[in-house]
Amino acid sequence: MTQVSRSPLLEVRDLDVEFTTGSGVVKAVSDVNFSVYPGETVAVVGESGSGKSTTSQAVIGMLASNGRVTRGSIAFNGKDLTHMSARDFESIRGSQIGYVPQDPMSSLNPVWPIGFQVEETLRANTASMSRADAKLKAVELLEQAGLGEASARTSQYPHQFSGGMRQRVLIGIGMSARPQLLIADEPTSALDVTVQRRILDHLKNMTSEHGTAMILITHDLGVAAERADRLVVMYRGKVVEAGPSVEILSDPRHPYTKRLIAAAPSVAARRILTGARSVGTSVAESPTAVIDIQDVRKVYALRGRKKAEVKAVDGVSIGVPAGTTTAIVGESGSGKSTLAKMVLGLEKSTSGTITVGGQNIGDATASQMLQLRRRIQPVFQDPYGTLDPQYSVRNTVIEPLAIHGVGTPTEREHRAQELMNEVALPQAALNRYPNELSGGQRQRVAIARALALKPEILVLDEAVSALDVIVQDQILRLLDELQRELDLTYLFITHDLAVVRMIADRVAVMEKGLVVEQGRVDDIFDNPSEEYTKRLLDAIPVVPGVA
Amino acid sequence: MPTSSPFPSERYVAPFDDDDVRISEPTLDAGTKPRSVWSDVWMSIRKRPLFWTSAILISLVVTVAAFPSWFTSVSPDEGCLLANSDGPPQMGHPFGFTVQGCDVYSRVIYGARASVMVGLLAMLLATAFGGIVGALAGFYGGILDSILSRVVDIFFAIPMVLGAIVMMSVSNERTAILVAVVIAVFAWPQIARIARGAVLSARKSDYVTAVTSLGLSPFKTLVRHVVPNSLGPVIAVATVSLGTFIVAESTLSYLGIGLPASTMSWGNDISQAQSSLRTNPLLLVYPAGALSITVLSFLMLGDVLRDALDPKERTRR
Amino acid sequence: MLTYAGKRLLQLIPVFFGSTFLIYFMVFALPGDPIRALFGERQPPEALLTQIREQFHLNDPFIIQYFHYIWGLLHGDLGTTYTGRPVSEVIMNAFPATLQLATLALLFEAVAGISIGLVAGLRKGKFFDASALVVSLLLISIPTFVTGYVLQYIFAVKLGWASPTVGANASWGDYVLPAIVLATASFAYIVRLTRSSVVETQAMDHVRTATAKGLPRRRVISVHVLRNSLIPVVTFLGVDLGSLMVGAIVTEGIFNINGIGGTVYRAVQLGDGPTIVSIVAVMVIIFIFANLLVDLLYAVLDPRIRYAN
Repeated sequence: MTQVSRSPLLEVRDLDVEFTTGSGVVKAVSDVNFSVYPGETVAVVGESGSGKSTTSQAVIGMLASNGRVTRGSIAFNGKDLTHMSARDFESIRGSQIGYVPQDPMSSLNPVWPIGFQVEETLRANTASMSRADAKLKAVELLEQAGLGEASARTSQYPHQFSGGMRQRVLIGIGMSARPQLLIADEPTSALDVTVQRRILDHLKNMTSEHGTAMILITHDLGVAAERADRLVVMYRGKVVEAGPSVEILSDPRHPYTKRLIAAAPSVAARRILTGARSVGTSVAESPTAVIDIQDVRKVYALRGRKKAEVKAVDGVSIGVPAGTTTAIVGESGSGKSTLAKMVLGLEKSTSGTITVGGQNIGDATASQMLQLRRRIQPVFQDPYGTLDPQYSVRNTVIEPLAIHGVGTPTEREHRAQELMNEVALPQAALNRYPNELSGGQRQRVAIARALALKPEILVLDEAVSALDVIVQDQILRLLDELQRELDLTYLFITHDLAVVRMIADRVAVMEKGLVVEQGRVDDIFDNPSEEYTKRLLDAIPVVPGVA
Repeated sequence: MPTSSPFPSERYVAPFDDDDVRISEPTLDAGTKPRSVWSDVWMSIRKRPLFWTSAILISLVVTVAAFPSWFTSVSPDEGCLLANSDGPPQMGHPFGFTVQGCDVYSRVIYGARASVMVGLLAMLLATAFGGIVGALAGFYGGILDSILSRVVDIFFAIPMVLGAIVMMSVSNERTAILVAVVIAVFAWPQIARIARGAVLSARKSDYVTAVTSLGLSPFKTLVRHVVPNSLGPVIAVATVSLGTFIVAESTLSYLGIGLPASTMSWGNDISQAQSSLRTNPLLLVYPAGALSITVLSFLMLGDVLRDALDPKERTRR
Repeated sequence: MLTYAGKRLLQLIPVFFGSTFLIYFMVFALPGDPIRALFGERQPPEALLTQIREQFHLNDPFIIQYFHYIWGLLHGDLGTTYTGRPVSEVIMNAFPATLQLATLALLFEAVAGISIGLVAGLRKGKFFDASALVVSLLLISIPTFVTGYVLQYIFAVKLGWASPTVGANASWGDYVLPAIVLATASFAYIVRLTRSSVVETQAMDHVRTATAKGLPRRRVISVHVLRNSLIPVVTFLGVDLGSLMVGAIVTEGIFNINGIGGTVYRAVQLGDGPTIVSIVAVMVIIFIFANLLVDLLYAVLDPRIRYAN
């Protein structure tokens, strides 16, 4: 590991990549330079559209059919890959350059058994390996990947494995021929946080054991800094900054890098937004609890089978004090979204009571429910699905007023303009349609719609999770300002503890339908008492050199 | 580990100006015209030659069907002279004559009406009924969905033309309207399935959950948000099915159980042309050509519309 | 797999009764005298009228009539034709010819359709793809009876490469031309479906994985792209059997083939209602069971279905 060869394994020089689309030629990557030395890990960091994935695809010769390298060179072991024939590339891929894809759920062929997919990789990359040898080797490889009873499970299909397990299989496939270079394209962004950490550890073990160099493509600065020796920060198709991870993190020089680091929640150590007033220590029994969840359960009966049921939420009690932010944090399947739906009155609880602003949702009449809906509004995760594509922004933000018969047309128009101000969008945005807006702008419109009826409570269901870091930071700040100005109460559903630290006052940690721990954010973060909370906290990347 | 890194430690910082830091977001000034979903669809289809080809052909066929006398001054069934039987083309009679000595060109022109009418009527009926059933099943789900879906399955088990053959062969009367109704009876399940799928996916979207949280009633949600966003795939499949219905009508007429023999239609003319196929194959070619071009235009238009309207094909920005 | 098969069989029951009931309803419950309607303007012999009344139990309440009819169906009693022959006997006689024709047609549309669709999908946007799309659309828009007459005229009448009609003891070769006629429209649909399925599959993540792990392109295409693209095509073959049946009526009529389709064709020409209804009912039942088979095949091709509970 300390033996450093002078010459780089991979050297990308002056790389330009262009795509020919219906509306002309788009330059996706321009003037990119970086190198990777044997055995080191280089992280390429950037937001969506930064060109980081395009760069990695150019390296393994897998650009989409409308894309091509128009300038520069990619030297791998001294050979230029940009002018290599398709056939020659086949002998490099897999055997010399391995690849770990982003989404394990869709990256294995659903119709072939796991064993088959490992075996064919081995046979393609190893000269004269017999079918029987490949079978034995595949079992061995899957055992290394951490698959229990590997020999029995080789005949199983991808859908019978969890996401984390599939990613281990894919890492095994990528490493099967002991390549000199492994390209991991967002290898954990589709996985739960606690799984993420284990997969990254596994990846590190595999590469360091075999002295494999790695290019880690990621949008997560924390992951990049924690895992890579050096960083390449990309923005709008260009490299804006490159160098040793620690130095860049502690002393960013390019304004974009500075912003990225400032916005990255994983790097933040403390609640940086200070909108809410100080919060009392009492929990559910607080008299000011504007949302009071008492022993709520939600049980789904599985179709077609008697007795089989899923306890999505299994006896949860949470109190949300007025004017504060309470976060519910958990991984997929923890029941946090089901809980949010019940609070919004979109699903009925199986037992227990939910009281919102003094009104018990369970016994509310239709008209009481309608009144209640004016006081509690949701904002959802996916900025592309949250707005009706056929409604202009004006119609979207006016619709709540129309449903509840609030105001005259002039007053509604006035309110629409006011709302644009509140969410910091120009007035002209009212005439626009969702397809003309960016993800962040759409999310602002969604917030404006939620605010239209002047509610007291917003239920934010992963409302910033789908956004790029800088935009996410902007939306979080907007939410914080709005909370202060409008005296709002937030129920903030998220999987991201780092975001919790940034904006929440109180947090409830959910696992498998239960609240395992709840209390003030600082208390929980500084002194977690539950094993699960500790695991979640450990999953936040630890950035070397940054306090 | 990172402190004593054995790897090169030089740093690179790209030259920058203030512009580099600004996030690239669409500017929303009042200068440009807003683009709704439908105007986006229009922008994308109007670039395609296939759209213009089919649109021009369809307008032509529809005009011919509506005003046949604009295109020929020769009456298709009067003044047929047996002396002209199977006669070759001549001045004023570009396609020649039928066995009965009637002008082929004017028969092709006058035959358009029946085919287009039956196709259009069947399409409207099947789309209206299938669309409503599919939308209700997809939106309300539960028992209603189970029942409606079983009914759809039952009708789906009877191939369209096969069912039409049974119904037409046991029916006493043969009118254009009956043919259209019979076709629609066996064609609606396909449209119902498409509509159900489209409504189901629209119903699950966050914007529907958002208006539900606002307190909009389910029926108004269906009408205001779900239906408008489910129309795309239904329109596309309805356009294509219009083409296939015209083929179905001609097949029934060819078998002698479609439109009555006295009605001027392409199917009937093709059916009559078979007797003189060996002596005058062109008698078959003209009506068959007109029929195929019409069907082809609707298929092409449906194809273009599907590309533009199907959410799967629509790219996210 | 067994759970899935059981479930599909269970779903089949309402469809089976529903669709046969529907046919029965159309014929006997619509306004008017069903017997008169069955025979149109032709006056049937008195003996046959009585026989039909008896056969369909027209003096019982409607629902009882239907159950008598189903009972007969399940026992292979399919009624009699206009000339008094049992329909089951007619079908047995006609079956071999139709089986030969359908086998050839299916083989042709599947093999040629999938190959051309695959090549077009792999060359998306190129000349071959564009021509395949245009030609297939053209073939879909020409009705089978037109294709039939045109090909019969060109290859049998003008060129003399095939015989214009297929006699009783025809060889497989005699069925080639009619099989191509029968398969044309379905072939075009399969080309388009395979093509779009291949295009879609190629863009999938797991195909990227297959390429990235160093498999030769040939293997990526055959083992990963084609294998997965076939799943929707197989489903289509089941649905398409319906249009193939209609096509068989026309094709066997044109080439004068003594098959099931030809029998329906002649019955339509003669206004022989009982024969049409009985045979179409059998066709619908075959269609339902063929689709059950296709669904089971679908489960074999897609383990996600097989292992779902």
